Amino acid sequence: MSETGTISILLAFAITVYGAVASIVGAKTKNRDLIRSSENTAIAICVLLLIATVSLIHGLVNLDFSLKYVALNASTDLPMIYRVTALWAGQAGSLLLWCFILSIYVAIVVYQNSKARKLMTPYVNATLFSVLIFFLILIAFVESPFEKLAFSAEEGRGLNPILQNAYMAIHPVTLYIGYVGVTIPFAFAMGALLSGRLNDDWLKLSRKWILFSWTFLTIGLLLGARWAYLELGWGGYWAWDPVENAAFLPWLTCTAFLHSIMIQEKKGMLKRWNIVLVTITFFLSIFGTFITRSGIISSVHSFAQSNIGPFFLAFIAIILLFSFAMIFYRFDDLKTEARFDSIISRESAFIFNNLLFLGAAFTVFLGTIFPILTEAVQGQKVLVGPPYFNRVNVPIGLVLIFLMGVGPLISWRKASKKNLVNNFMYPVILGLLTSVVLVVLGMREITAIISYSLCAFALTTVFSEFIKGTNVRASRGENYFKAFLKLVSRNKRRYGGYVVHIGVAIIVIGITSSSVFVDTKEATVNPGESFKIGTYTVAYETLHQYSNDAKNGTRADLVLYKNSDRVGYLNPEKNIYKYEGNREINQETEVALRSTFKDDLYIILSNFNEEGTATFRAFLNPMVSWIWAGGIVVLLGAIITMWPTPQLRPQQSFAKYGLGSKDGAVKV
Amino acid sequence: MEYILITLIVLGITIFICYPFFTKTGSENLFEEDKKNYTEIRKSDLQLLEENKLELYSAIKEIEFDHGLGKLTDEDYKELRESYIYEAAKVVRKIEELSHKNHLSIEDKIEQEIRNSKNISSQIKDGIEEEVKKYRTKKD
Repeated sequence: MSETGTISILLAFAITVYGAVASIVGAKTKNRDLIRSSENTAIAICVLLLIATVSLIHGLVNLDFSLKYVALNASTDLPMIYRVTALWAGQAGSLLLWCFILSIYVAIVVYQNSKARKLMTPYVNATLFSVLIFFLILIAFVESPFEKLAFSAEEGRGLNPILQNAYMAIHPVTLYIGYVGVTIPFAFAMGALLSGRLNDDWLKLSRKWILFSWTFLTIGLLLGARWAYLELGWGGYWAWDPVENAAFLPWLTCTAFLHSIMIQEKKGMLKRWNIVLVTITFFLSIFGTFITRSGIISSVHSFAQSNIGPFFLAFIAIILLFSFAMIFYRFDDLKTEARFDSIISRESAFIFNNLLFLGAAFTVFLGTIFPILTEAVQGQKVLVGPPYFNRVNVPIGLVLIFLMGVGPLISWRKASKKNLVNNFMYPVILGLLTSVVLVVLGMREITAIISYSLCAFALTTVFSEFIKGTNVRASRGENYFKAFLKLVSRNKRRYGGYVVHIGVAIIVIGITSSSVFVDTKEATVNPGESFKIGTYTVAYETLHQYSNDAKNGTRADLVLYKNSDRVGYLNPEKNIYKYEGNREINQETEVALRSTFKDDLYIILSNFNEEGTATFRAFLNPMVSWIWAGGIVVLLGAIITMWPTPQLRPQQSFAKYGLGSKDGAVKV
Repeated sequence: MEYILITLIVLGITIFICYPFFTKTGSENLFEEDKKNYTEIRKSDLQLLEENKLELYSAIKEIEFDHGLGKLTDEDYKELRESYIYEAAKVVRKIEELSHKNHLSIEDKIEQEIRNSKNISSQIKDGIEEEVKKYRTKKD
């Protein structure tokens, strides 16, 4: 199957080049056949990359060790599921996955556009094909997943044990779906610039893709955090690691973009800003892939030896130069006649929001590349750790939570002071009350008090929006439940967005609690002894040694008591893997975790000796589960926002946010 | 066997991509923008005006919605709504001039468009009619 895979990739590359050229020539000459042929190319590319992907999976599943990629990432002891997920364990396989996901997106977009072709459509298609060309060059000529070994190995190196985890199995895929999805709005923006069609078409056509990408970036980030929490054994879930930052950066700018496009839709403003923002978001998604894949973060010297790093740098340079050249070329055409009605308006709140997200992105970007810059200039890497990122991003995050509460309360265009006082009164009272109660209860950590109070403020505003809207509907005779359902279904974007905000507030509460109030303990105990942490008593019973095909393991038996009541058993492990793994890590700790909504008890077996004396590190992390629960709420809100609405006739499209209806009842 | 598969794939892809060159296509317009009945000279102007008009109508509806939820005082609501209706009237007048459809007065056109939405309570409809009369008086 390797020949099939290789030929498929080479053919995909050739026809992608044809597709890009045919789109442009077809648009310029208005040649219908050429344009239709280029559209067929999109589907053909997707089929070819499907064949290539299936071929590689076939090689992994059947352990074809004549393939270098299989020999490096699989082994005979690897469970079947991880043989499949090894597709994205290594560089060549993950690049193939990138290409395949992008080809699916391209096929869908090209097909949808072909039903109602606009003047910008061929240029959108050409942009998509151009991005595909870059990644196909990498897997066709630089880092082929089907590279053969001179001899067929008898055994493979196996998959890194820390990657053999359900969360790590799906985290890269969800992140890639998000990363790759950002290509679509970028392509629409370039299509608008190239064709000169600078109305809102590009925004309307790409809006669902932006939401979809953002949703999967969010899921990918949370899954990655969950994996880090369970597998890396340091008690936390986010360390401002460069690879984490690489995924966080496009999420920040994508979130800003999601808000600023509303201003363009409502007021026709920020046209230039939105095109710049989508370009930056796409650049950051490519930059993130570059950071993760090129080896540049571990060392500039690794980068110099990396075979794909220079290609990524060249591609990034081309994207930025070309995009900004087009933006400057169309600069005057992107101006707006619209006006700001008032500084106290939702538009202002959104603009502040954008500036803060961009500020956060800039500081994270700077902190991420700082070691690279210092090593390149001084020959010595100067590391930037969590204190820098936290010092800058925590205040920004708190202001963003405040704006999250302010946004729903003020209207578009103009908000009067009297109106603001009426709308803000209860949320502000509840926010202040929260801080008073926390201080009275003994809390003294200022950051936590501010964070909880702002979350209370933001949640109050969101819930009041639901209550007010439902009451208005119910006052016309609908029962409350039906009124609530119709309120959400008739205004999915608004109320789906509010649900997302609820999820974000829950996540922030979880992050605040688990960051500020974490309790740690290190205890060296003999069998039969116990140690305390928080309200828990951990009794150490014994150590077990065991062995299987993959590893030699040591498991500790712990009994957990809470206020003298036995509540469960925990079994942290320390394992030595028999096969090397592709990162030469052969030791691994299995965290023991007891998770409730109130707190997580997290125990690691650090060390032990032959007499059975063991050293444990324990963390009591309050409300970590709120982070994962908040993520589910965010996902629910995103689904509501993306849920399709029946197509309205054009003359009714502006009326869906109106107050009246056929039967005279209020429709909100 | 694998080489037969590869050959079939290459052939199939080639046929699929070249297929449009060998089939007759319809005479429909290639791009959506070509389908509208605008004169060549005024095509882009009319389209922009139509989009502007829809944006203004959307703005009016948004103002009504926010007022219904108590986010706008009655004074702010009235002031904003009047100013957007006035701007909408100007845009509709320009559309009329370009498309030469003068059988309706501008205010009747606005009233008809808003009435066509079928989303307006009688209370609001009366309000719009009053507004329209005001602008007609101003125009006269």
